[in-house]
Amino acid sequence: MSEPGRATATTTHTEDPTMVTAGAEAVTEPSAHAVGRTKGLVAVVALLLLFAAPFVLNSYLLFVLNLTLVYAVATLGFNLLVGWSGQIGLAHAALFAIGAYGSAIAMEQGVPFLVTIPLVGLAAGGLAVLIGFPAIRLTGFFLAIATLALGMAIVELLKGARAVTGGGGGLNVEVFTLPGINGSASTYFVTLAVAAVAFFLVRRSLIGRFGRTLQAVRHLGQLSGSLGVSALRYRLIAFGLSGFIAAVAGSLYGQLQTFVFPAMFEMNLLVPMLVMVFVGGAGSHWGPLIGAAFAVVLIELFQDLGDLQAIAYGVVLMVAIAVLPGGLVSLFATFRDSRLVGRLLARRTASERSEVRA
Amino acid sequence: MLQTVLSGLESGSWFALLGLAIVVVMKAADVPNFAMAEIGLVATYVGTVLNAAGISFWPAVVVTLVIGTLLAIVIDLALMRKLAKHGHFPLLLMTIGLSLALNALIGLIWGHEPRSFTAPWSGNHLDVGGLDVSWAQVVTIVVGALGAIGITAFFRSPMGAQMRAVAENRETARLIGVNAGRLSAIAWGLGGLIASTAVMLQAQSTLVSTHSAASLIIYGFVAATMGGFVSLFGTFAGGLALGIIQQVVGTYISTSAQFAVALLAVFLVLMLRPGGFTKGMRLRDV
Amino acid sequence: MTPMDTSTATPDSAAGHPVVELDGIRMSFGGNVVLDDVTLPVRPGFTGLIGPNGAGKTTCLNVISGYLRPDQGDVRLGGRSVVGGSAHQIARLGVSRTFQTPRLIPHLSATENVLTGAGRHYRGGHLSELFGLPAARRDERRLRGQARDLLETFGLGEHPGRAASRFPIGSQKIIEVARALLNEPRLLLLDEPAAGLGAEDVDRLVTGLTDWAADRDAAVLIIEHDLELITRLCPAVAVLHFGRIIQSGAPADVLRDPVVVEAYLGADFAAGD
Repeated sequence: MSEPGRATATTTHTEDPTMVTAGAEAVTEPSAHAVGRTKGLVAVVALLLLFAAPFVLNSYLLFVLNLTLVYAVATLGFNLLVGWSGQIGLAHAALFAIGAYGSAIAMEQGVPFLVTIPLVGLAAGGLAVLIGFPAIRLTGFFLAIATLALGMAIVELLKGARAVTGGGGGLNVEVFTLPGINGSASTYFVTLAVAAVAFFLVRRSLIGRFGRTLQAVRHLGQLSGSLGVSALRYRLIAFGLSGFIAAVAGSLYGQLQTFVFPAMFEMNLLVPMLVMVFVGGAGSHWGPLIGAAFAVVLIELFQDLGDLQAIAYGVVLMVAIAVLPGGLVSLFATFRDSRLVGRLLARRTASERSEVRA
Repeated sequence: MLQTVLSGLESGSWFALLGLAIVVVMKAADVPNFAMAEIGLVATYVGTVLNAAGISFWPAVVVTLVIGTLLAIVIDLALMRKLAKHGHFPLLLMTIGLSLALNALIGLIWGHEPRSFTAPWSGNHLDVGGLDVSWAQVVTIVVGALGAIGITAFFRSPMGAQMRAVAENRETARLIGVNAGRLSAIAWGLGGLIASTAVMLQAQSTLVSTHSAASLIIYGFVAATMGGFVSLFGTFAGGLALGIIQQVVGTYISTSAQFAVALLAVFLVLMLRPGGFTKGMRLRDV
Repeated sequence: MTPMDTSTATPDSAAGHPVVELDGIRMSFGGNVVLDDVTLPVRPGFTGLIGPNGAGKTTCLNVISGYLRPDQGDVRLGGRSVVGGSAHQIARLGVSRTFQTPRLIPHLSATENVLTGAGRHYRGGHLSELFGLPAARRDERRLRGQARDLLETFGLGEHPGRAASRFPIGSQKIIEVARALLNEPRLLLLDEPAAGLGAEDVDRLVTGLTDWAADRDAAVLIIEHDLELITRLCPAVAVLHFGRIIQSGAPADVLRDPVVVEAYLGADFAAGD
């Protein structure tokens, strides 16, 4: 496994509206296998700790943790689309809804929950490719508005198809339980497993050729054709993958909430999703997790404060953006840089010397 | 049907004006401003409070407009300037955070109940050949049209020309000595003025509340999109068309589908005219 | 229209069949004729395409690489017509190019940027990469090695891990050339590769390109204003003026031709250059 280097905060301002700082992390030469092993160890320990959560945490904290993981997975898909392929597709909340509803409805028909997860993923992935088709002709804010329109139409359909979805009134979700474990812990374990697999696979493909190609499409646009890359094909793949992941997260969300209704999936979800992507750090690897944790903690922390909660949410969001326009991951990068400052300095002087020589 | 079109022109005028406010700020300051409706709402709420406290209509209107203008300028100076070099998205998120905070602040101070801005002509109606026309509708449509003409005239003035220069090329504009900071403040002020006009027009005809701002801002953005974030005429016409579509759907199909259908109509326009509907096709990137 | 004089090209390249042939290309934008009946065979080795600004040189490259579809005429790559093919399909047939202003992924390293040019040389698909199959790892290792070797060839081997945006513009242009070469093109299109480069960078570029081309049968078409560079590299050169090829042949002959001199100087004076 090769290692990401420092996230270089680029401040270049281009016409690309998603071109924000922090970009993706520059991948340095994959020499440090030892570092890789340490990181692997950290990941395993973190997973074990997370695995122990249901035995340690009370039900409220478990719910919060579970919700964070669900949002993190959803944001992982959103980040793939917005941060990596550079397309502002705003149907993500609706695709998330497809996952929640699709899973619940399939379970009513007797399909086991674990089977519904890939099923809704495939369905929403295909739908997302269709939603992405405007990308043939549109980019930037125009694509944003077009996909927003399609997303809202989906939620509208959920309201309208009363016979299947229960309409605006909502739908009960049958809760899946693992043998011998209660419902909320079961949901948590499934969520944890799905999140771990999703983060592992997405990260793995993004640090390699696939991630490079997506970024070439984002930064070169149509000119990526000269690299033998069909920009349209990769734009649609990004839509499809993000839709797949959104619906997988949605199916877990349904399990967590045990009741779904259309109003859950409107702007009130889409805006926090955008916040999670950008506050976490668009185009990064761990930004979705950090962004989701940020949003959930913020909401839960200021709960029951009514209007004050929304004010606090807005103000903290503004402060976070003002202080760290590259997202919270750039904070970690800064920290890492300062810790390695000695080694970096040595490397930099060497490179400067060579520049003088050149 | 005519009745519906009339209502459509009325709400379309609000959308068009808000869209124009967004485009003005986008052109001169390059900020996609999601807080525009809330800026107008804060100003309008102050106006309604003054109005309710017995201050007569016209002074209340003036105070409303001044507050909307100043609030927007303060936001530009205090929050937006230093983020400018980071591109659109941090700016957009900043305005989203701002809209959440302002919205909640309004709720905290004045509550979430809908309010209206009572004008001297409120409740008066005209009968034009069997068509029931309220004075509020007349005022909205006339002020909307005058506002659009005024903004267009402004962009023909020397200062407007500077703004266009900035919009076309920030770097060159700086080189020829355009003070982008001052222009940005003026654009924000103008945007705040237009936005408070839009929300006030809405309030003198119907009710406004912390809940009405969200749909207003989206319609405003959609109108701006139809003008390609550049064309004033495209934005204005787009806003009016949006209002009519939305009212027709509300009357003949269902009010809950208004939003989605209006957006889908825009989607179709965008697919046929990718740069907004006043612009021709353009080859991207190359 | 003067037919391309093949006898003046170097003996070994003259023998080769054209890698790409423009045949009677006509291209206009909104009634403005930019290319008018352009016929140009490009044989293995280096060919220069020169002419005053606005003569239609870049348009030629855009037609060959599939970004523009000509109104009339044919583009044949290895004898096969590619008109109507999209840019990525043509690139996958072994056509690489660079741009006047370098287009790199700013925060990715030099090596990673060069690697984006390797698309068609990965044997496995994205799924084999996703599941970490040995074949995918081998591909990645092999091409990464080649990418570093290329950077080495162009004298940029010292900082393979530095972000592209942190290189000076001249080096960025050279990284772009390396990216184009990793595609192992049979036709390489270079759009003003030396513009903005210091003398030393130009030397690196020339050495790197000649090294690369030495043991290959590839054709390189270079648009360049630096006539010294053209004379150094190209045994054959064609002059484009107002969308027409007005002269072609060996640089020494072509550059002495009074028609060419007038076209060049005249246009340059008119443009106030």
